Order: sequence, then C-alpha cells, then structure tokens
Amino acid sequence: MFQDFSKQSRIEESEVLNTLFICQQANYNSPRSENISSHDGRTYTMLQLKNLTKRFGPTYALKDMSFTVPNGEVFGFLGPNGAGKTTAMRAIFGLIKLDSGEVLWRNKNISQADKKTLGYMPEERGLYPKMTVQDQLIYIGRLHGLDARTAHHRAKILIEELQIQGGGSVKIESLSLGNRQRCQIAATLIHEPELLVLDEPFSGLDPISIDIVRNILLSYASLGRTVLFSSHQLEMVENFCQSVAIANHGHIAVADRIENLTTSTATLILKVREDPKGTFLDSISGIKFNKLEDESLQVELSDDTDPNIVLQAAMKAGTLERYEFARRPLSSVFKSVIHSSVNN
Amino acid sequence: MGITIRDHLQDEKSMKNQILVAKREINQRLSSKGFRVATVITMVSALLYIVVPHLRSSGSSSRVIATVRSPNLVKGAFNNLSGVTEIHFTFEQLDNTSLLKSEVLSGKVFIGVLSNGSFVVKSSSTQDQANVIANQVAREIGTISAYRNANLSQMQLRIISQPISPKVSYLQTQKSPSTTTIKASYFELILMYVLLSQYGAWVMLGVIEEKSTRVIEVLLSVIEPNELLAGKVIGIGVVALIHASLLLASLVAGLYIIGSSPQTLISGSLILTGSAYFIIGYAFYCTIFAAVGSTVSRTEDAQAVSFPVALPMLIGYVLGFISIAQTTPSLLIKLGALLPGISPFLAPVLFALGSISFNYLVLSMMISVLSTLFMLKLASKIYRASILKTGSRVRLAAIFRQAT
Repeated sequence: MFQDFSKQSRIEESEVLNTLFICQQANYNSPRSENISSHDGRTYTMLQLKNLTKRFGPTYALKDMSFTVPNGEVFGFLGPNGAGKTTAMRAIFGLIKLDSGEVLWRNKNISQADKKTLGYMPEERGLYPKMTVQDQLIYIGRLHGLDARTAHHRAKILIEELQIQGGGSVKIESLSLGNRQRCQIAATLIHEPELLVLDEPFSGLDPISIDIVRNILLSYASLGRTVLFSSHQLEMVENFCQSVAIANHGHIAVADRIENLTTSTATLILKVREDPKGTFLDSISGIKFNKLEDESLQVELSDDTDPNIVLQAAMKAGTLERYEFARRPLSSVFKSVIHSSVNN
Repeated sequence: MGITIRDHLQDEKSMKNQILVAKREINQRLSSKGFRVATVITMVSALLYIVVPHLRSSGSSSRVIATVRSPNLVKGAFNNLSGVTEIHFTFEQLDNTSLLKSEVLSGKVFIGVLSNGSFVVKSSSTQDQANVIANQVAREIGTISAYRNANLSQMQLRIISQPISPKVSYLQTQKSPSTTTIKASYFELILMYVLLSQYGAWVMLGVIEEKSTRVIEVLLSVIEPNELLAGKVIGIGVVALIHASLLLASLVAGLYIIGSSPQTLISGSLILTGSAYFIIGYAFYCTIFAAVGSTVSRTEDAQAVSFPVALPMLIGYVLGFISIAQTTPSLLIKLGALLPGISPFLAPVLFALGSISFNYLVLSMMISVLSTLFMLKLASKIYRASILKTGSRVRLAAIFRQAT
C-alpha cells in the first residue's frame, strides 16, 4: 500500500513538496467535483448530472444531486442503500420524471438518438425468458440501431467472450443466474455504447464471473469509452475505478479521484536513516508518532499542524529515505464520509 | 409549422422501432409451440364443427321402418315426409311384435309399426328424431282416418286440406333476415368475442411479462413507451389476423367438403362491417388491456384487473345474441350499437339483420373510431405512468394524477 523510497538515497525536496501540494489539494469534503482531470491532465466532460431532485411523496430520492463523469474513465457510484444511486441512473435514461435538474451528455440534454449510443444495465436484471440468448442480443442490438448482420456478428463475439454456457441457442430461462447476468452484460455491450451505466453489475456473480466481466469492462474502457457503475464491493471499486462519487440521502457527499480520496493528509509515513527512533520529532508540538515494523515512523498530525514543519525537521535530521502520506482503504473513506454526512 | 427533416427522421426511427417490436411479438407467438398447437386444434375443431353434423345426417339418411303387418298402410305417410326431412325410408315386414321391439331397441329399426297401427320408438325424448317423425306420421295418419270416418268426398277433402286465408297487407315492408344471415350473424358474434378476448389477454399478459421480468427497464432505456406499446399491439394484431384467417379458411374448407356455399358464414355485409369493427374493437380493447396490464407486476393479478375491461365485451356478446333472437330489437340494443366497446358486437349484426340503417351504422362507426382514438391516448398515458412502477398494484388515483 505504501510507496517505498528506501532504494533512493535522498528524495529531492521539490518532489516531496510537490507531492505534499497535490495531497493538500485533495478536495475531501467537496460535495461535488465539476472538473475531474483525466490522465493527461485535460478535462473531458461526458456526462453531467446537475442538481437532480426527485421526490416520492414526502421522501427525497434525489436532493440536488450533482456530479460529473469524465471521458474514458471507469467511474464508481457509491452509497448506502437508499442513497439515490438507482434513481439517478434511471434519470440518465429518462426512466423517471425529475422534479428539477437536468442530465447533460456532451453538454446537451440526452435525446432519443443519444440513448442509442448509451448502454444501461438496471439493478433488476431483465430479459425475455422465452427468447434464446442470440435472439435476445440481436433484438437489443437492433433496437440500438444496428443492422441485422452487425447485430448477429457482435452477438456471436460477445457470447464467446463472456463464455455464456450453451451458446446462443439456449433460452434465457434455462440459464443459471450467473450466465443470465453475463447475457445481460452482453445485451448492454452489443451496440458498443460510448457510455455504459451499470447498476450493481457484479452482484450475484461468482469470483470467476466477476473476473470475466471485469476484464471485459476494462478492455472496453481501454478503448476510451466511459463506464459508470454502482457497487457495494468497495475493494473492487478501489482497484477498478479512477474516480468515485459517494452519495448519501439523495445528494453527493464527495466526488473525486480515488487516489485523492484514499490519501490521508493527517498521517505521514517517513524514515530518516540517521534517526530511526524519531528524536527529531520531540521538538514539534501537535503530533503523535509510533514506529512501524520497517523502521519507518507513522506520524499523526493534529488539524493545525503543518506537514511542512515535519518535513523540514526530518530533512535537517538526516537522509530522508521515505516520505509520504499514508493511504487508507476506500471502505474506510466510505464509512467516514457517510458518518460525517449523517452528522452534518 | 412544417415538418422538418429531423422530425421526419425521428418518425422514421420511431416506425422502425415499432416494426422491430412488432416483429419480435410475431416471431415469439408464431414460434411458440403452444400457439401452433392451439391454432391447429382450433382449425380442426372449426372443420369438424362444419363437417361432423353433415356426416352424421348424411351417413344415416336411410332409415328402416319395420311393420308386423303389410307396410302399405303407413308407407305413403312416411314417403310424404321423406321429401321434407331428406330421409329415405326403407320398409320391411317382421313376423311378430317381440322381434320388432327388440330390433327397435338394438337400433337396427328406426320406427316400428305394430299390428294395431300404433308406433314404437326407442326413446321418449322429444329431441329424438325417431320420436319426432313417428309422432308426425301418426298425426297425419290420424287426420286422414278422421276425414275418412267423416265420409267426406274427394272435393271436400281437398277444400279442407287446402284452406284459402284472407290476404294481409303491410303498410311498411320489412325484409326479414334469411336463415343464412342469422347463422352468419351468430358465427360473426362468436368469432368477434373469442378473438377480441383472446388477443386482448395476449397483449395484457405480454405487458405484464415485460414488467415482471424487468426487461421493460432495458427496453425503455432505448425506445419510447409509445413505440413499445404500438409495436406490441401491431404485432399481436398481425398474429390475430393470421389466426382469424386460418380459422375462416378452415371453416370455408369445411363448407367446400360438404358441398355447401361459404356464404353460409360470410353473408353479405358482415364480411365488411365485421372486419372493420374487428380492427376498431381490437385497437380499442388491446390498448385498454395493455394499460390495465401495466398497472400490475404479476400475472396472478391479471384476472382481477382485467374483469372490468372484459365486462363490456360480455355485455355486447349477450346483447348480440338477444338481438339475433328478437324479430325487432329493443331500444336498449339499438343504443348499445352506439356505445364504444359494445358496438363491435352489436352494430355489424344489427345492420346485417336489417335492424339499423346505413346512416346509423356510419354514426356508430364514427363514435367507435373517435372513442378508440381517445382510448389510445388515455391508455398510452396510463401505460407510461405505470409501466415502470413495480411492487404493489398502482392505484387508480395515482395513475390519473400522473396521466393528466
């Protein structure tokens, strides 16, 4: 989890300060993230959910929910049950009538023609039980505007790639749950959509099926397509996504890149070759530290302690072999975001 | 203002979607084993309905009349009846009464005539053909005997047997329907009821299936609810027409087999008005069935919600039968021919029987078309409002709130 700098004799001060700067920029408590940078540093806005509000009776399913999904990313949409994830996903496809707010695709409202370039897998899986896998995929493909020949060709490829047991001639009703789910994913991918919206795509899948589906989605995303998906499997989200939005009670509590969210600016990990016991830290107030197994020091900073003071003290004390902010798992971030959002 | 190219392309895409949905419906129904078997059974039943009664009557057109004494006494009376009943009677003489009775009981002999002139038949049922014929012949012989006992001359006998009644004049002439028209009306009524209720149920169950299997959410993420609904109604409508055509074809084939004219079923105006009202009635009922189906999520709830929709069908069907049986239909029945939902059953039949005028038929058809257009709009709104609502049944008030 931690990046080890022990092989480097000394870290350049400018590089350390740069890292520190980036970490301080982590917009941890931001309720929305309008412009998330892509890998090349540029921002591509593909999908924008702006101030979505939807009420069912007295209950708000969506309450001024906003977030942006950048181009070519695998974007995780997280939140506890009832946070409004499914409602927001349905809103993208106009499946619910919003009280207010809008969904923009490439800065325009989503038209019926745009919908043909999007792919949606709802939380409640749905296919015609009496249709064969192949007919089902061709039908969905054709509804998305494919001609019969292309739909047939792509259906065949997807059936092979997703390893659907029995092939295309099997009726949906005779498939196992896992195979039905694979078929559902194939139905979402048949027309090679530019944006995939998947509601809990991994629920109910065994580990082998998860691997197959994940690899398909990763190769899909590698083509520059965008994937937005919801999941409760946070470990997978952490490994799979570049960015996430965490929703609670119908609004976005936080949305950011995973690396920003999981980097803890309150905890430093450092190692000074000449002072492994950390005596140089005794003079700094507002910190607590303890020694880790590899002779590194874990330093807990109080809210008003500047990490630069610790950095400068460490550099004075000797050769700095390791200096980084500690990282914590996404599940821990998720819990603290939900707790703080409830308390607020 | 004018239609733009974009609108035109949108319409074209919408039509393409409807065709795709319709094709899926047609393929699904036609490839279903259940549909094929049911269609074959229906066709065979229809064929048998025509052919079997004919075979029964033609196969046994020759009947044996046995007498203990000389058959000449009754022969004339039976032969007189032969021309009316199209039954050929053959006569044989038996030795004694007990043999005659046992032959009648075994069915070898149709009617037995004892030495005292009385008749013996197997069954006392008034529906029994032998019983009916025996009584008729007995009455005729009795009348002839009575005239003879009265010592009337031949001239007197002719005058009595052929009385001349005073002429009755009619100020308004009314063409009474022929037996063929009456038969065809019954047939049209039954066909209309069976087809509309069956295909209405298909549409409803198809909508519920899409909702219960949750495939609806996938479909509506790419096409409009109206396109899906229209495609479904068109698709099942095409299957309905195929089914109805096959049914008609098997009936016509049956008529050809027995050497009868197809006009027995397809009488005069009924083929035109019946077809027109079938299309109107189908559009009317199927959209309501679809709307009603969209309010429930389980097939088990289908019966409860469909009953109010099926009720006008049943009323139309019963009133249709009454209207055929009555010489002059009541005002209620005539008004029924104007009511949407009931008119497809009554209007074609009443027009064929000459009970309503052409103008009345046109008025009825106009009301039906307008109400069907209104129903298409309303049903489409209900469908849109409730198709994605799962769980408990959608409340009527909530539907109308969202639909309006």
